[in-house]
Amino acid sequence: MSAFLHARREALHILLAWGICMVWTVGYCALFAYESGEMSLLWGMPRWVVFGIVVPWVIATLYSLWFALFYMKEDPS
Amino acid sequence: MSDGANASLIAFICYTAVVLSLAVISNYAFRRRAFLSEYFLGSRGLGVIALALTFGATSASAGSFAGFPSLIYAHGWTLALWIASYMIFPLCAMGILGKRLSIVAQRTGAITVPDVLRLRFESRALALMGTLLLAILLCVYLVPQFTLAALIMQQLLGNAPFYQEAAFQLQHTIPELIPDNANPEYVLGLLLFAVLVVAYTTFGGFRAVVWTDILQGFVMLLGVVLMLIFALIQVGGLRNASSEMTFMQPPRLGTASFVILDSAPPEGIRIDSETWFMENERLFRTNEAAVIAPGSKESAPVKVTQITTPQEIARITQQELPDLPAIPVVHQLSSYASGDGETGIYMQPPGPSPSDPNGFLPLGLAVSFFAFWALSGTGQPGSMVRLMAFTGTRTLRRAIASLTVYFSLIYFPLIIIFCCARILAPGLDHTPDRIMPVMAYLLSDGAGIPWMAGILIAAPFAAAMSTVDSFILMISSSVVRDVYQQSIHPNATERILKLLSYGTTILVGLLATVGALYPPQFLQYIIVFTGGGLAVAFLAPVGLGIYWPRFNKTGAISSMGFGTLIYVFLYVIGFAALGEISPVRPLGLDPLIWGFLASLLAGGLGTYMGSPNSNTVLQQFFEDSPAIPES
Repeated sequence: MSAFLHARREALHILLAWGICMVWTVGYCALFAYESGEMSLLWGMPRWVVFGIVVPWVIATLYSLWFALFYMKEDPS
Repeated sequence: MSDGANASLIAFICYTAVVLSLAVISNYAFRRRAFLSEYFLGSRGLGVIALALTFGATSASAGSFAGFPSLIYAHGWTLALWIASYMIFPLCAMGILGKRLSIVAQRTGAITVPDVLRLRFESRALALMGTLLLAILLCVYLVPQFTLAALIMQQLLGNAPFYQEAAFQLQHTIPELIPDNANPEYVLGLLLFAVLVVAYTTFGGFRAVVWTDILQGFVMLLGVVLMLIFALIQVGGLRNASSEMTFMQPPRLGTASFVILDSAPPEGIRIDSETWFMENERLFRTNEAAVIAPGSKESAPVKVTQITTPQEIARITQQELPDLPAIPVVHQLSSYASGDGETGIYMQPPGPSPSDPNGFLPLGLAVSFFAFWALSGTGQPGSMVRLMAFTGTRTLRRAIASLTVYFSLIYFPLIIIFCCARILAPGLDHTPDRIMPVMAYLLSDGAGIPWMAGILIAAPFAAAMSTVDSFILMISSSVVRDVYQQSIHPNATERILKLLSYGTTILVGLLATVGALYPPQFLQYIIVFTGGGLAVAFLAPVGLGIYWPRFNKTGAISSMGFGTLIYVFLYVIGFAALGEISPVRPLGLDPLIWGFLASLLAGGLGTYMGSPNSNTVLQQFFEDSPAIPES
């Protein structure tokens, strides 16, 4: 596959990942932070922060590392 | 405080010496290379750490270390949702355009973003339109950045006797430099900042900016990590901080004067900012210093915050409150529009708001911000230029990985630190912009190492500097390369280009300094407006230009023009309705999103109405695309 197709496929991949992050984060917070009045703590943070922000943040970080270091193709300049 | 102030001064002097040395070394080490490519793009020689940190440091402006902490302090854990798209920001901002832009810039020899547009669409008009938008928006953007930097300088050095004396001398020696009602310490801070940044940017060019960005990137990371450790220790752990926030109710904000029965002595009477006092069994904290002038009996009204949470009042009044030299008289207090009297409001969205009855972050705005950061970061010309300044995909891949880790270590810890600040430094809700330096001094004193304040407070200073230097250089490159060399004097000698580059860099710095001498209101709004405007103007034309072979000149001009028009229009309507730089948000979505959608739509329609691209352009830009037949 050409460098152009690699770059385009990678860009679409990133947009999809961004969409998944948004659906998870905003969706979870809409259901469990805005609607619920529960204020229990987990790891010293509100529970919605842990499952709505911290967990997807960690997964997004691991995904970004995998994407950059292993998935992106080495293309000639 | 004196040790901390001296430490700040020493840290600043060391920092200045290192930054200027980097500029000198850069100038001498690389003076044999082609001037424009070296001065504006570092000869495309960025390595992994340089690319990651210059990208990160340029993205993290003074807002990240002054505005963002103040928002966390004012609204609590809700800011975790506000900033959440930074979880994927480095991948979006570098990964979507990075590889293609780098390859295209190397193939075509483009040095600036308007350069890319000119070559891709064979249109000088489009390049000039891009240059004009870039220069105007960046010049406007620089003024609040210089203002914030001067305020940080004032906070950083304002307590040092040497600095106070220098400001006094400035006021009396060159009074013309101090505008009416301006604080001489602010003006001195502005001048020091401007001279330093303009000097090293002019002398060292892009490479000096990148080298200082690397230094500034490390300073920011060190500052955040140290503050996180100190804050968690001093607050007794994150669980303790969050538990206390559960009971917190928003304070009341107001003003108070201080009165004495006899006239004040010749040296006057001063009540410092952050002084606790009781009035009618209510607990207050001053958020500004009050001064009773010699011979007078009353101070001017100063901002105060009333604590309303019973548990907090009990905790604070356990300690002995200071004896005041004057009697406080509280004038007027206002309650929060959202969250007044409610507990738990700092623990979940939408968060408290002094002015908006819907709270700080309604759900529609949360969606909007998730899109805003990614679009804004990807579409900044300052970021795009950095993506043109390296060679090889390997550098980009490793830089994305490094920046991902770097931003995770910066942004989420900031939320924790400034949630802890609500417990460690309560009652500063009327002037939350000062929370960063206040915490730096507080944490250093609490840890018993006051000199550490110099290092902690250098972080926001570094953030301001690393953004400003890049933007000054970008305006200068646009003027010299895209206007002078391409349109006025294509055969200009290197000596003329060099002189013009130096002159433009200095001139831009001077203009921003003069603008900041008369600081505009609504700084944060101006930063958001100009940052968003740049993204709307450039993201679709550049993105579609490098990924869609059919996208043509008509599409690009329509995209840039129509997107910018919609974006500005929503701000103009908001300004007409509210009288401030605040936009209307149809369906709760930010104008950036509407502007970007309009830009895509107009780009698509314009492309189908315009003429096809020439074969030369297609071969040059899409040589390896299956849509282009081999010649």
